[in-house]
Amino acid sequence: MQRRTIAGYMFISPLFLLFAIFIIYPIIFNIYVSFFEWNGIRPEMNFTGIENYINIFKDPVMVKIIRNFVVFAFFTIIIQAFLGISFASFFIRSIKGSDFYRTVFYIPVIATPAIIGNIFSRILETNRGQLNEALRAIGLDFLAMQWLADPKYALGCIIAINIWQWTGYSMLMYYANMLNIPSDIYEAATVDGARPYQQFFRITIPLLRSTHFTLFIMGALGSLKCFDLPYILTKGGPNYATEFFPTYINKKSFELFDQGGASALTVIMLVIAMIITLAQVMLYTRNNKDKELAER
Amino acid sequence: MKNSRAYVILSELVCIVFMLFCLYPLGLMLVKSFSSGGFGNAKGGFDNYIKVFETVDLWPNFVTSFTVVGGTLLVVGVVTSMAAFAFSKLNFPAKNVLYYLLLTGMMVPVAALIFPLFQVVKGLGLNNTAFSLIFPYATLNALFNLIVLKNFFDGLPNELMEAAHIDGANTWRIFTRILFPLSLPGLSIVLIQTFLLSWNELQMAMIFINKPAMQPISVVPLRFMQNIGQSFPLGIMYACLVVCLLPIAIFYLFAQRLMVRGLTAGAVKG
Amino acid sequence: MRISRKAIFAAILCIVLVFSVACGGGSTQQAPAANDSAGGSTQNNAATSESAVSGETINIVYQSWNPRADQMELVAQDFANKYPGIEVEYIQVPYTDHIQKLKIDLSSGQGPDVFALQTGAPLKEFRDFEVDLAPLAAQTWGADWEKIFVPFTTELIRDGSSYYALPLGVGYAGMIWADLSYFTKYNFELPKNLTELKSVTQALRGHGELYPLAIGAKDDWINLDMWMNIMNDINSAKLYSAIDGNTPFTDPEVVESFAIWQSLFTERVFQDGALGVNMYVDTTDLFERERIVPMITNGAWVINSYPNTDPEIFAAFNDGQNPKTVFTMDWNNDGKPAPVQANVEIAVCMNKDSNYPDQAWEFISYLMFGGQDILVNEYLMYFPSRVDMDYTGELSEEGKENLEILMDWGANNVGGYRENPYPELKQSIADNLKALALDEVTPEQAAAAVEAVSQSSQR
Repeated sequence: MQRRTIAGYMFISPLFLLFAIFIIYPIIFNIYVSFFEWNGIRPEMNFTGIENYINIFKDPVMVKIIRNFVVFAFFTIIIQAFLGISFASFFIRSIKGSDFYRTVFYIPVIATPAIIGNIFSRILETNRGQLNEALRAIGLDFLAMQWLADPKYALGCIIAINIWQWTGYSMLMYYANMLNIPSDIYEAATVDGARPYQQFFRITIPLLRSTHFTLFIMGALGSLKCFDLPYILTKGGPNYATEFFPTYINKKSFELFDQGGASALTVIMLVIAMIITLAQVMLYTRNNKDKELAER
Repeated sequence: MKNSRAYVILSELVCIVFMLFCLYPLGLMLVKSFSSGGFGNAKGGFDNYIKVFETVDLWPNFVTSFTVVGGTLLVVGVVTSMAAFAFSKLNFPAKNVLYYLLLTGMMVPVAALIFPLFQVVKGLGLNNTAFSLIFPYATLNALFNLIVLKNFFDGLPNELMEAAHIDGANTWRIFTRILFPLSLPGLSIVLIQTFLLSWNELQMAMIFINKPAMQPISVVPLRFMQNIGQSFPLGIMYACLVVCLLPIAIFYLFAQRLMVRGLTAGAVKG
Repeated sequence: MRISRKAIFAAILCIVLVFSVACGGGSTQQAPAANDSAGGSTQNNAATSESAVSGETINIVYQSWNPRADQMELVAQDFANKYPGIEVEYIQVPYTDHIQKLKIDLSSGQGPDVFALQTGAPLKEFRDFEVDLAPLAAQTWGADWEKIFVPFTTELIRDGSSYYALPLGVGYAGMIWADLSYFTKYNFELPKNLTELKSVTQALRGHGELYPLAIGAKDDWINLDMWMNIMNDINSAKLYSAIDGNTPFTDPEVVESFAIWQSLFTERVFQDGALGVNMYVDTTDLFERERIVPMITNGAWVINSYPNTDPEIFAAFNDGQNPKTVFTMDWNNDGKPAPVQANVEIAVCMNKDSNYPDQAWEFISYLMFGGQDILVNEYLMYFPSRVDMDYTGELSEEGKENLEILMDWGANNVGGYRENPYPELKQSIADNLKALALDEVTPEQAAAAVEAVSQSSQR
């Protein structure tokens, strides 16, 4: 046991070394700066205690940011997981063209922010954008909206583009982990007379628990960290309808020259991230224990 | 297992619709990269691509990008595999606490990281070298992918470990001989992801390396973008974006094949 | 098979370990590390330290967001001819990234020897890294050197008796550019005041034009330019006194300006979906390349489309099919068109940590004269910031006419400055302009919200 303990630390030490140098210091730096009034440039800083935090809690934009985060996380996680698991199960049952589809569905992941910004802002443009042109062409004029210009739809557009880009990733994660499920489980179930959909709900989905968990936590934290899409497509607008933590941090830091406020916001964001992770972990381990008990 | 007719039709239909959804925006980019712009006195076609190479000498940027991405992949591959294996298959005190500590590390947004990271990189004397990007990229990607790879290791049966232990293999051998090879499909997802993110990263690339000629390729489209209003039609910028994307696409197709081979191999064993 | 895999793995691990050791060694600050790091640790950048060793030419670095690298090439060559022994390396970075890069580089003791900023907030925030150029200017050009420059430019930069930057180029904003072919085609007159503007844009829409007056309202800067122009038309003095905190934003005339701004959206004077697109190049391309826009809001710099090197833009401005003109609007229907806002295009600063201040100053002083001559006369990048300068480059008749209109405004019809030096106030105005455009607030509410920020922001 002693030797295995040491082995465990040995195996994680390279990652921890990187973590200590490149992550811990920046976090401490942000915590420190968050107690100062500082423009991010000057050598001297003014200690202001928790004033930056108080300002953030008084800031009406925060409500919108939290709302955007929750809405974005909810829809992207659910829809991407649903589509991902559906496609993965199509491919695991090797429908025609599985390999081709699997390759294609992942392709949007390679699109850079610059590409997305340029292409989607054209597709979604109000007057001559391809989406509205198509809607008008098939007589659905009433559906042709001012997509990115209207706060009602802007967030929806960003969610849709996120789904466009990341469904392939969810699909691949599910697919890879489905292949790890031993086929004899299914064979036994078939012998017992379980229908395919029963197998899917009773075997596949429960056995992918840790993948659901992984994708859920990545989705939640990814939504908190959402930057590229709103930054390039809407700059957080219109009127903060698509503002997220990182875009607001960016604005504070580089447009308002308020590094203290930006750092305080970073710290708050980290705390939220920790709460999310903890909550999910507790839920996950509790369920695990229930399951273990049930299995005994 | 046979698929019912309704299942086949429905699934094919869904896949075709989603395929169009996936491909349309990228197809549009490809078309535009050959377009001549609005009024038709620019030439367009392959001239856009020729002009990209005429305007900017891309090769030094490609060299930097390949160095940076190669180094990052190496570090991420080794470091993440080891840590994911330990967190999944080994027991040691404070394991969970350390794991979740690492996970929160992936949460710091780049906007908040960049200034202190630059101080670190500069303190280590790495700025203006490829290493200034390799280590930050590797750290961020390793943390981001730790959860993915651990999940994959979790899916590998524990019995493998037990059996090997009884045979007298030590932990290192178990890892290198048995579990690491089995984790290759998962690792290839991780490496594809790492390749993408480190190839496309922009903010650090621009700030940690000063000389435009030494910066990674991801910075190059900016040079077109900031001037398109004045001197380049959009078609050329799209051509530049396509040029920058090509290596990713090639790597992806290659890694995808590796992954599929690994996946099917794993399935046979299971 | 097994052995080779193990060997590969061992090799990989070795490399990683070497990396990690290099890392750890560096962090104890005693390892000589890589040779490249020498530049970083002695507080200058790689380029300068190399040349210091060779001892022949001295390299200085200039960083800005414009002009283009190839345009700057011409300037750098001219400079190299006139000042042998100094070489300028130019780094062009898009504006936001430029600020971010400067922020990080300067505060860690690095950065370019000479850098560009916008006047107002950025010039103020970077103050600790800017050298006071007034003594150098007096030494080089004599005691009354300020008279070299257009008066308002020095006024914008002067801080007490210090000058932490010198003005390169002048710009004007707040105008509307029109494609006259549409007015000929539909037999319309150019609108002179708000009432006419509203009826002309309605009529254009009636003819199926989608962009009667185009704006890329996703960009705050164009919204601020246009609102300031409305306010300048109503009452210039009040605008600037409100910005300086001496008049409340709840003043009826300010509220009126917000109401006019809002009506441009609610009465569909601007194109639909304007808040979803930016100016460059979503919107400007429609005017400068595709020619499908009858009118567009934009600044005086559009004039450089006449001598543009891009064939498409050049044709759109020179082939005579789509003649263009520029005008300002009479927003409050009082019979007088609005004055324009003026700004210094680029405030050129010297890094106080520069290792070669003498050479950096040589470059800055050159940039004001020879450099500016090239940028203005070859490319019409800016309007000249020197009083002795006139445009001598080639231009079509139409281009000359428009240039004269703009020059005339610059001389006789400037309402005030273009920028707002208080970042928080500026952001608040920009936010409220968007809320107004969305019809989410009334002009009174917007005015009250801006006033609240105005009272709490430091000046």
